[in-house]
Amino acid sequence: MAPEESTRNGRGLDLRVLGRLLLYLRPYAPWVGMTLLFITIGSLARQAGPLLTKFAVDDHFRPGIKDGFGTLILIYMGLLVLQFGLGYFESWATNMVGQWAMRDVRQLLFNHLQRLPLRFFDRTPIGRLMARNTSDVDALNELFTDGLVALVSDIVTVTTILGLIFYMDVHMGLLTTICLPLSFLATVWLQRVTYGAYQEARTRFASFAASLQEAISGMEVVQLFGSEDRRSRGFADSNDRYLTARLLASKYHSAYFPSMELWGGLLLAVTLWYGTGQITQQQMEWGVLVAMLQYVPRFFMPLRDIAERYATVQTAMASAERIFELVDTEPEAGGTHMAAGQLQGHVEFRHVWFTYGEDHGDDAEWILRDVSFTVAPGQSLAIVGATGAGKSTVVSLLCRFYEVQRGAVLIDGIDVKDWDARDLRRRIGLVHQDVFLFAGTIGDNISLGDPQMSRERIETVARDTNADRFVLRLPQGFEQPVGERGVSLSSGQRQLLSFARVLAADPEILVLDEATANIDTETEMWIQDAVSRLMQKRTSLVIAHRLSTVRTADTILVLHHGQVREMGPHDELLAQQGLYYRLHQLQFNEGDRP
Amino acid sequence: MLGLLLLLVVQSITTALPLLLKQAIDVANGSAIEGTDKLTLPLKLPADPRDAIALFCWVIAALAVIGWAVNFGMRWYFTSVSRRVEADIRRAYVEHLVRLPLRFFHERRVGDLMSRAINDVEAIQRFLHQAFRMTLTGLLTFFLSLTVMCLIDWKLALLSLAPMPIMVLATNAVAGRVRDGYRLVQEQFATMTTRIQENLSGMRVVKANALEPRQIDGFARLNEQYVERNRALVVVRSLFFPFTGFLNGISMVVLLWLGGLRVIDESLTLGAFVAFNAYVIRMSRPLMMLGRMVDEYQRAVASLARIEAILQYPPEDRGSGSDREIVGEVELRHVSFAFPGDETPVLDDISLRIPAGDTLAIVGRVGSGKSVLARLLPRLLEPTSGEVLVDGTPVSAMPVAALRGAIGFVPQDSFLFSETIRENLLIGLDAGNPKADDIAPPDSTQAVAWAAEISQLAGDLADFPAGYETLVGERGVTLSGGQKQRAALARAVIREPRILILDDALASVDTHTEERILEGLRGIMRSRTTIIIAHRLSTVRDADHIILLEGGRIAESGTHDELVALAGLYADMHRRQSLNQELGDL
Repeated sequence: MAPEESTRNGRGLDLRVLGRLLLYLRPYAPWVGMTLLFITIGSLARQAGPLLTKFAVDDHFRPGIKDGFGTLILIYMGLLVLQFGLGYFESWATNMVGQWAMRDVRQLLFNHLQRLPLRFFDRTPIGRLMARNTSDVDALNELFTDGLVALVSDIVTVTTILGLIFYMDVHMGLLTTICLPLSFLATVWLQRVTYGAYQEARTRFASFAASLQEAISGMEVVQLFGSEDRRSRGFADSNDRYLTARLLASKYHSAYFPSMELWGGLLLAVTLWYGTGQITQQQMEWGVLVAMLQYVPRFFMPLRDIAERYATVQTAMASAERIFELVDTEPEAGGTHMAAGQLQGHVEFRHVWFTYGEDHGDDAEWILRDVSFTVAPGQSLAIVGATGAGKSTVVSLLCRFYEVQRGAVLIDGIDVKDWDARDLRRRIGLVHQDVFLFAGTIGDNISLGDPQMSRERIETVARDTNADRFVLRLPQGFEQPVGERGVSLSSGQRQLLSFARVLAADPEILVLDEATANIDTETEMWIQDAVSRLMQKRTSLVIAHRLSTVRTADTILVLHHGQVREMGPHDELLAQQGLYYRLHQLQFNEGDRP
Repeated sequence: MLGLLLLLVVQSITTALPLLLKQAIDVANGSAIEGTDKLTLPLKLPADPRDAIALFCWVIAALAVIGWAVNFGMRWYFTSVSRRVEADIRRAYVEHLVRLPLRFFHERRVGDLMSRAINDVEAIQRFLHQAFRMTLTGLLTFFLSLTVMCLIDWKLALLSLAPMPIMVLATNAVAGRVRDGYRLVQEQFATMTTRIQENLSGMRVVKANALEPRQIDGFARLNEQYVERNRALVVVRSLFFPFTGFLNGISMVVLLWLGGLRVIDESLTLGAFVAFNAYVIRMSRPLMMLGRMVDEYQRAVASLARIEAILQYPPEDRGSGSDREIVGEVELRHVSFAFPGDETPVLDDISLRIPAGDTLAIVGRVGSGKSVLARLLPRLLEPTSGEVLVDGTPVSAMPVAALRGAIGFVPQDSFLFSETIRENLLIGLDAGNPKADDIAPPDSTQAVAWAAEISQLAGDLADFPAGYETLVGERGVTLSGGQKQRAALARAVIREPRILILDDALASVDTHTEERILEGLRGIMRSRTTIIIAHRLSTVRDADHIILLEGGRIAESGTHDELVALAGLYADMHRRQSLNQELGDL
C-alpha cells in the first residue's frame, strides 16, 4: 500500500516516537549534555539580578553603608559576562546540534530512498517525498531547538525563581506555588477550547484551498460553462466559514494570552500587601520585597511559553511519525551474487509472468504471460509489438526494476533475484527513449559524475558515438551546462548523449529503447551509425522502431498482448505473413510516417 | 482607531503599575522626597499607612483585571480586523481570478497562484496582527516609560538607558547580516531541494546506472555545505540574544549602582528605585523586536505587491452587443493563431464555413492546431489575425456569456469537479442561469437523466450505489477515463447547445459505446451545429464535411469517401487504422 499521509495532529506525546527521535541526538550526546548544563547554569545566573538587588537594599541602601557596595556591583558585572558567555555557547551548541541532527536525518532519508524499489516510486508522488525531506525535517529541528531545549530552559527558570522565593520567604513561596496550578488550568482550558476550533479552521481552510486549486486547474471548464459567479460565491462562502472558525479560535487565544499578566498583577498586589505587612512587623526585610516584586513578572513568562512549546512538540511528532514511516519502508530486496570479471552476456527469460498488480491467478492483469526466450552472448534481439504489448516491461525486468511473479529472468544462468542489484545494473547499459539529463555539464552527463573518468575518455566515447558532432558545436563544448538552466537539447541529441554515456560505462549487455520522436535526417544517420557500433560484441536487446535495427537483429521477437507470438530472423518472419508482417507494414514504412 | 485607543489604555495601565508600586513602597517606607510628588497618583490616601497600602493593592489588583479585559479586547480587535482583512483580500483575489482570460492561466503555474492566495495573504495577516500591533506597543512602551523615568530622575534615566542605543545599533547591524546569511542558507536549501527532486524524478536512471553511491556522496556534500552556511548564521544569531541580554544587564547594573548610591544618599526613594527597575526591564523588549518587525513589514509589502500584480491583470473581455438567439452558423475568415512569444503559427490562414445544423470533423496529428481552432469559437483563445463569426457576427462583438451559453464544449482532458455527478452535470445549466442550484428538482433530475442517457453514462451510474449522488474525485469514486469523458459529454449535452464541440472527447470510450453515443447525438443534433475533433476515423466518417489539418493549414477537405479517394494523408491514416484494427482483432 502507498504510504498514506498521517493526519494525526496533536494527540499528545508518543514516548515511543520521542525516544526514537532522541536516538538521533546520540552522536552529539556530549554537546547535548553540555548544552543542558549550560542552560541550567545560565538560567540560574539570569535570576541572580534581583537577588543581588536584595543584598544591595538590605546591606547597603537601608543602613546607608557604601562600603562593599562596589564589590557587589562587580559581582553583578561578572555574572553578566558569565551569562553572556554561557548564553552564546548554549545557543550556538543548541542550534548546531539541531543542524547536525537534521543533516543526519536528511542524509538517512536520502540514502534510504536510494534503496527503495521502483514500485515504491511508481505509487508515491514526488511531492510527498520532498515534503518528508524538507518541511518534516525542519519540524524536527524545531522540536529540538524551540521545543526540548527551550522547554528545559523554561522549566529551570520557573523552578529557580520558585526556589529563590522559597529561600527568601516560605509563605511567599507557598503563595506563588498556588499560582502554578491556576495558570496550568488556564493553559489546559485554552488547549481544550482551541483544539477543536483550530482543527475546524484547518479543515475548512484545507477544503477552501482544495476547491480553489481545483477551480484554477479547471478554469477552462468554469469559463466555458459560465460558472464564474457560482464558483466565486462558493469560495466566498467557504472563505467566510474559515473566517468564522478562525475568529473563534483567536478569541480564546486573545483571552488566554494576557491572562499571565493578570496572574502577575494579582500576585503583585498580594505580594505588596503581604510584604509591607511583614516588613512593618519586622518579619521581612525590604530587600526581599524589592526582589520579589522583580521575580513575580519573570515567573509567568516561561509558564506561558511552556504551553507554546508543547504545541511545537506536537506538530513535530506528527512529522517524526511520517519520517519514520518512510524510513521503515522495506528496501529493495536483493541478492549478493557479484560476477568476477567480464560477463558472458547470456540472457534468458524462462516462463516469465508479470503484473504491476498482485498475482491473483487468471484474474490478474498480466502484462507478460509465459514469456520465454534466450539471447546468446554477443547476439542481438529486437523486440517489436504494438503499444502496450509489454516491450518496456521486458527491459525493466531484465534490469530487475521489478520482480517477476512467476518464472525467472537469468543472466549468465543466474537468476537476477540472486544478483547484487547494483553489480547487475552496472553490467547492463540502458538507453531510454526519453533521456534523463542531470543538472551539470555535457561531460558530467557522459561520465555520470564518475570522478575517475578522464577527459580523454569522455571525448573518445563522444567521438565513437557521434555525440561530439553536436557537442563541439556548443559554445562551451563539453563544459556546456545542460538541464533546467542550461541549453535544451533535441531528442536526437539526447539520444546520442546517452549512447556516449553507455559506451563510457562499457557494459556487457546493451538494452536500447529506440526513440520514436521526430529526429532530423542527419542526426538519424549518426544515431543508426552509433547504434550499430554500440551493438558490436555486446549482447543487445532492442525495442525497435527502426527498420534498419530490426533487419540486422539476429532474432526478432514479436510480443502481442504480453505473449511471444513469433520469433525468428527478419526474412523468415516476413515470409510467414503473420503479425510481424502486419506490424512491419504499419510501423516500419519509413519515409511517410505521420 | 478603536484598536489604538485600547492599546493606549493597556499601555497606560502597564506604565502606571510601577508608579503605584513606587508610591506604595514610599508610603510603607515612610520616605517621600520633594520633587517626585508630581507623579503621585491623585488618590486621596487614608491617614493610616496600612489602609493606604491596602488601597494601593486593591487598585493594582483592579488594574490587573481591567488591564486583562482591555488587553483581551485589544488583541481580539487586532486579530479580528486582520482576519477580516485577510478574508477580504482572499475574496477579492479569487473573484478576480475567475474573471481572468484563459491565456493568463497558461502563463502561470497553479502552485504559484495558490501560494499567493495562501502564503502571501497570510504574510499580510501576520503583519497586521502581530508586527503592526507590536510595533505600536513597543513605541508606546518605550516613550511612556522614558517619560515617566525622566520625570522621576532624568539623569539616572539617561545614564541607565545609555546602553540602549548600542542595542539599536547592534540590532540593525545584525539584521543585515542575518538577512544575508539567511539568503545564502535559503539558496543552498533550494539547491539541495532541487537535487533531491532530480534524484527522485531520475530514479530509474540512477538505478539503471547504479549511481546510488555517487548520488549519496553528491547529496552529502550539499548537505554539509548547508550546515556550513547555517553555522555562519548560527554564530551571528547566538551572539545577538546573549548580547542584548548583556546590554540590558548593564542597564540594570548601572541602575543598581548609581540608583543605589542615590538611595543611600537619600536623594532617591526606594519606591522610585523599584519603579526604575521595572521600567528598564520593560523597555528592552521592544528594542530587541525592532529588527524582526522591520523584516515582517518588508515581507508583507512584498506579498502585497505579489497579490496586486494579479489584481492588476486586466480581466477577460466580456464582449458587447445585445443578447440574441444563436442559430449556429460558424465561419472562420483567414484565421491565424500563434502563442505569445512563439514565432511559428499554430493556425495559419484558416477559412471555413459550417452551415447551421451541419457536422464538421477535424482530423490531423498531434500539434496540428485542432484544439486551438476549437477554442477560438467560445473565445477561450483569440485569433492573432482574422475573424471568427457565428451567425455572421464576429464573436468579439457578442456578449461572451451568450456566446458560451450557446456552445456545448467537451474538452480533451474531461475535467470534473470533486462534487457529485449530478452537480457536475448541472454545471452545464450554469450559463445564463446563475441560480442553477434553484432549478426545481423534477426538471433538473429529468434533464440530468436525459443527458446521462444520451452520453451512455446512465448504465454506469446504475452500478454505483449512490447513483447520481456519487462523489467524484479524490474523496469519492475514481471514474475511468471513458466514464469521465462521458460525464463531460453529458455536461455539455444537458444545456442543449446550438453548437456542440467535441475536442477528441471520445478517445477513451470504446468503439462500441462511441457508436451508440454518436447515434444518440445524431438525433438531438439534427438541427444543431457539431464540430468533432478526433483521431479515430470511425468517429468522423459520417460527418458532413471533414478537414485535415497539417502544420496549421487545411491540407485536405471533403467527405470521407472523397478524402479516401484522394489517396493523400487521410487515406494513409485510414489504411493504418484499418490495419491496426485488424491487428487488435488477432
